[in-house]
Amino acid sequence: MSTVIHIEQLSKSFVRNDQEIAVLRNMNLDIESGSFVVIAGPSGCGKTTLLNIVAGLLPPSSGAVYYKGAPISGPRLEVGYLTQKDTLMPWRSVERNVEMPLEIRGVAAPERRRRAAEFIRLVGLAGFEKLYPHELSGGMLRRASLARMLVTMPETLLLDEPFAALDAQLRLELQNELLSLWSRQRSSVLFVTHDLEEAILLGDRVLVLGAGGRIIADEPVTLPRPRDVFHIRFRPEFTSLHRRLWDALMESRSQVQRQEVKL
Amino acid sequence: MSLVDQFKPETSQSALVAPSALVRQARRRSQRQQWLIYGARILLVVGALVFWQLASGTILDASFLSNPLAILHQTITWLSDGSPWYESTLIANTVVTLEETLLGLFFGIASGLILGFLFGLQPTLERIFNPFIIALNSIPKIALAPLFILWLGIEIPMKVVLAAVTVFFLIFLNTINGVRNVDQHLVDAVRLMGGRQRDIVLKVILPSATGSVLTGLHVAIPYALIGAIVAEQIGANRGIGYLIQSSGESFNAAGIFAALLVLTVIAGLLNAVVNLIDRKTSHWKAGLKLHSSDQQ
Repeated sequence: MSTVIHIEQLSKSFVRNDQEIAVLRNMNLDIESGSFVVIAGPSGCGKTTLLNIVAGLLPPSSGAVYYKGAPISGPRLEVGYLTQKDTLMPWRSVERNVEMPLEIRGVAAPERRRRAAEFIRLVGLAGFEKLYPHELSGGMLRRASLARMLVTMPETLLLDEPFAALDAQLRLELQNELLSLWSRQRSSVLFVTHDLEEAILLGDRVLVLGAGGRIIADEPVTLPRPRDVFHIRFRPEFTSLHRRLWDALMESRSQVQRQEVKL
Repeated sequence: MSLVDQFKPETSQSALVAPSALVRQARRRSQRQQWLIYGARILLVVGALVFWQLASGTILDASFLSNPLAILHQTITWLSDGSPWYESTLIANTVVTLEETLLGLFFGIASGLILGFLFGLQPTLERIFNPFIIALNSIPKIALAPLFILWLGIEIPMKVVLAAVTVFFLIFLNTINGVRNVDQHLVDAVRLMGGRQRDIVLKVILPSATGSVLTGLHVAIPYALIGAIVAEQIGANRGIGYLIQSSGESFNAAGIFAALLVLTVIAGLLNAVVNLIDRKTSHWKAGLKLHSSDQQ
């Protein structure tokens, strides 16, 4: 398999109150094309910063990220990014929100409407096209955001704790739908979470990040697909992998906390 | 209460079915309350008018406080002074004041919007000009009237400029605020879609600043009227402000009240226009408060 995202000696620091804070230090990582890679780690380990850099929203302080061999210098049209926070335009209806990326790309109105309708149906929001974001529940907002990201059919998806704010049942439901959507398109996915169960359930490969984006664990997930989100957690492979990743996560937490104390 | 609630099983148990007896009862109660309030208002106005009329000439001095019938009489006199109704004293002067107010609004809004967007999008520019803008804004605009009379005379342009200057600052400052308070996450979302600066301005900044601009407009409309009226009182020979001023000078209390009545009607109409614009542009906000509890 070829590499889709290549991260080389990546460092990122921010200046806050006249102090330099290093979020990522000399990170190296390769993501194979077509794989579902999950990055887990406690808050403060630089997961979101990493995704923002890969998405082209933030420039690295040093090092570089390559997308299919070309250094990333800004957002790329073939990469879709679902942020943690809902960023639907509150003054646009679901339909007009989903159409928006096509509108910016200059797709003609009838074609735009047809494709938006198709993806709205795909995420299970048919019948809600005319509603505004303030009229939607948390789960419906996520579905609409998902439709907006998928409507341009990106070949690579970046997802930043997309289901963190949802209740447990709804999260399972949406994880299930994400899996079935992914199995159809087989895009490359970089998925960030702090939930290990979610990581194992979804990923081909789970990484645990520690302070400064250091990779503490890098485990392949050998569980067969399609996976049953409701019962997979009872399989022995699941339990043993969960235990190994849990230990890594605990180590990562204490690292991040030590770093925070130093600051 | 709306379609929405019916499709939100996890957040609403009510409103799923036809209104229950309890709901109907609550509706009836609030309806009754509404009628009670309307009734009380009408009673209050009628009562005040009757008291005013009866007390006038007995316990109140009619030459200072006039009375409803005298005001009505004055209004009719101003409407039927020989010329056709549309050229009568009342209408002609109303038209002058309206013209000044609307022109003032137009120029004030246009300049406030253009400069507000410019300064909002160019933070450095705003930082350079900030102390001067604050200094200029803190001058009561009315105090500038003598200067405008000096430059433009006492004809309509002087009033338009005074109203426009007042409106300008309200729109300008609110526009800057609106542009400045745009959610960075929404801007990032458009960048991720491959949007350029133009898309960000047209598809995010412009719509998201609308609310703030409308708030400015709400305040600006009565201020435009104030600007025009005060300018007329300082120096004019036409307009509602002039009518008030000249009635006062000839000890015509009924004339002052009649002119004030016209002024109230104009202000009410202008406010109705703003409310209409408000409803047309903020439909996406309707009910925002109702659902704030299920947003994190």
